[in-house]
Amino acid sequence: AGCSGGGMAGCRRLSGAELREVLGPAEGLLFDCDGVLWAGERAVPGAPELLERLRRSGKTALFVSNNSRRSVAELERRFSRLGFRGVRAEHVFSSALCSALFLRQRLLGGGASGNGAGRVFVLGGEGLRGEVRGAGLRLAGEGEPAPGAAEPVRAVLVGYDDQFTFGKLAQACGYLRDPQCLLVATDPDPWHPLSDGQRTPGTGSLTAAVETASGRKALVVGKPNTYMFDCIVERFGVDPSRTLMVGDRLETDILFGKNCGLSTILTLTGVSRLEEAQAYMASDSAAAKDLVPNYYVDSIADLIPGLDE
Amino acid sequence: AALPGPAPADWAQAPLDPAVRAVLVGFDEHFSYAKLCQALRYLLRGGPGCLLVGTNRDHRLPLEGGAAIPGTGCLVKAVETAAQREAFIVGKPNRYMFDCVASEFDIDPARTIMVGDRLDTDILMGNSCGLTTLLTLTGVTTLDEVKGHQESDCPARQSLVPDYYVDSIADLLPALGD
Repeated sequence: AGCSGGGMAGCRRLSGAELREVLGPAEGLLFDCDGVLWAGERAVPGAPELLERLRRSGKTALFVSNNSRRSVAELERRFSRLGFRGVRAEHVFSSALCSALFLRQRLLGGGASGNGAGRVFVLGGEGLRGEVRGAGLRLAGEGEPAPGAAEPVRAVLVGYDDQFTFGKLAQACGYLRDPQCLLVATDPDPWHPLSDGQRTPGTGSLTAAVETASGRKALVVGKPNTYMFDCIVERFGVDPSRTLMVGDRLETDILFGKNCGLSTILTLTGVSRLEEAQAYMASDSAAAKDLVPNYYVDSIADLIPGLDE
Repeated sequence: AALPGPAPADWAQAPLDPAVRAVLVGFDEHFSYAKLCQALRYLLRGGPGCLLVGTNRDHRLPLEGGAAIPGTGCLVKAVETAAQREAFIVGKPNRYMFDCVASEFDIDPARTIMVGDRLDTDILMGNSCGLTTLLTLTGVTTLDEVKGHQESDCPARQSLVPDYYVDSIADLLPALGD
């Protein structure tokens, strides 16, 4: 596989002989989902075929997404509906699932039973709430009387919440007055693209409000932080030096790949433009260099020729 | 106007008012994700031609007993993060409001005292504008906090230190002859 470690990535178009040299030795690929496999309700043309060809080549395909709206069960159905075959929930690592696993570790990991672990106040939709319950945790209700009356709230989890309100923000702050109460965010994304080119606010903007009100910094589970990779390694034991990260967002996917020691491929069907990667490459800042991908492709369909027929 | 449908993808189809050229973020106990969406849409549509203004950056509004409700600063931060741009802040400690007062009332900073209870808004603004600053202890700030800033090496913290303090503004009465 390509180089990871010292030196700046080269942002080279991946094709031809080099494509075969990079894909050949790779044992697995991690894919972001939105903007990589699909855009809205449309699969990226050729993406289902790529996954099928990877399977036939004996290479593992796993999925790592900052999107905290859906449970992995819903994502499995989505893969199928959009024409991707053979993707099971266990292959999918969403920030919703990984946040639930993180909270399970921190609240239940010490051997505390379900009753002693405390509850989680979730700012998010039913997909996220379901993953937290699925991890064996109990949720704080909304609009409750004074805190402390029932089992204490031991964590506030900020996810994508299109029903976010000032009232919920105030309630979260009430719980966070207890310094033992964790503040966790599913992902740092400031916005997400909509299919018509507009943008919708992301978890990052809601987390900023909660951090400002509470005076606390959130623990962020999603990319570019590496916790989701730890979850992947624990379940599938991947070797970073034989694994490629494929994503569309420089500040999350590519930096995540860098942080986890993976070679990175930027696909241009999503958020980031090639000019942005080139600007980071030309920048003097050390932090900017970490956002430069090793390779780029116009779409992940361009990877197909790198696989044996 | 009512939102067309339950989801953000629907809200993004609601017509935008063509005359809007500024988004103003103030204290809004009815703040919601839907409003945040609309703010983002106006800012993206207008680019630099649409102003982003915040009334102030206060993190918290204290209530009795040590509780607090989120301040306007939280809502400003949410909009700034989604739009990836910085708001122009009108309120203290920025000097805009002092400039308004000074121009209306012909104030000489060298002969004016700023009285307040918050170091990072009232006192900082007063110090930045060349006023004499007076801290009153009937509000959020304790003398220990002031001492902490005074003893620090950091110039930013030094600018939070008032010239004087009183336990309450009633302590000013004896100085006013009758």
